[in-house]
Amino acid sequence: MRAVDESKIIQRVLNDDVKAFEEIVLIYQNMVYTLSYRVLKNHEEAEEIAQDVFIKVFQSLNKFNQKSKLSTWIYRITYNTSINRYKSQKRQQGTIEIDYTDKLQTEITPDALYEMSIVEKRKIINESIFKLPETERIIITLYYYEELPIIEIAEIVGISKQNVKVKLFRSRQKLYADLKDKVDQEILDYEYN
Amino acid sequence: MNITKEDIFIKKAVKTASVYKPDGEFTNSLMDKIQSLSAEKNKAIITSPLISIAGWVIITSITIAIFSILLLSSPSNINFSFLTDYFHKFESIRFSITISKVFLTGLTAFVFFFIIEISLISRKINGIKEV
Repeated sequence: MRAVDESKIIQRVLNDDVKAFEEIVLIYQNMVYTLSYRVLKNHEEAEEIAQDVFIKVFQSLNKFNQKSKLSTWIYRITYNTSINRYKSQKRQQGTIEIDYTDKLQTEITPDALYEMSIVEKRKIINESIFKLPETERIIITLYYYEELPIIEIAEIVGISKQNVKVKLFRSRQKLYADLKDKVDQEILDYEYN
Repeated sequence: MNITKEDIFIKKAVKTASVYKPDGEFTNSLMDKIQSLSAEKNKAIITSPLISIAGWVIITSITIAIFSILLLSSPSNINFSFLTDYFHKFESIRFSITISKVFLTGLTAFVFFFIIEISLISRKINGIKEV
């Protein structure tokens, strides 16, 4: 979303136009939910966190100074809320079960076999992503999926640019080593292009 | 950052992995919550004054009356010499305290306002509980 549109929507929300907030929700809900799921590995928890994040955003939108992008601010809230929940869960439970139920965004294609193959690949890729530490999962998602610059990712996860680069390098190496023999390059090309 | 073959591969893989979607009802249920939060925020706060106009008139009249009586009267002298009957050993000591008008006025005003404040606050708290 362009900065001008963004500030117009924010202004409308601040003028008590609740419908305008739905536009923000629709734009960011999938990424907020994904980031939260990538940390918590549980769909119900991720949905709860996503709701909390949007409620926090709604309640403190008047404090948002618009020096950073709205997306950066929302993702930072998502990251902090998810990590805090994860840490408190870890203290209580010790380990967290991964809920692998597939809720991935899937477009309908005519080729069922291809679809099956893609679902399988997605599962493999996501399993590999889950092998990374929580912050690296977020960095990988924001860098490669959202294509955010390093500086914004650093702001979201609250670490230095250099640290983001190091974590990105490490996680890329780990993912590549894990996936290169499991995922067919052609399928990636087909899906990606 | 240099783009390596790993970089291209991982980018394709992460794009293929795609994003997760929340439940179909997520947006509606969230917007319901947001609507109710907004309504709550905008709800007019109806407050009644702690002390009504009549209350203020009564308090002012009583205050003026107390101050007038105290300031126009002579200084009070409370004599504690009767205590010496009980303390023969301290015969030389005379218990006598002269209370100035200012002190007596201040003390009376303090007690008066303290009683008013307590009764009004307790009435207000009871009112809030009943609501």
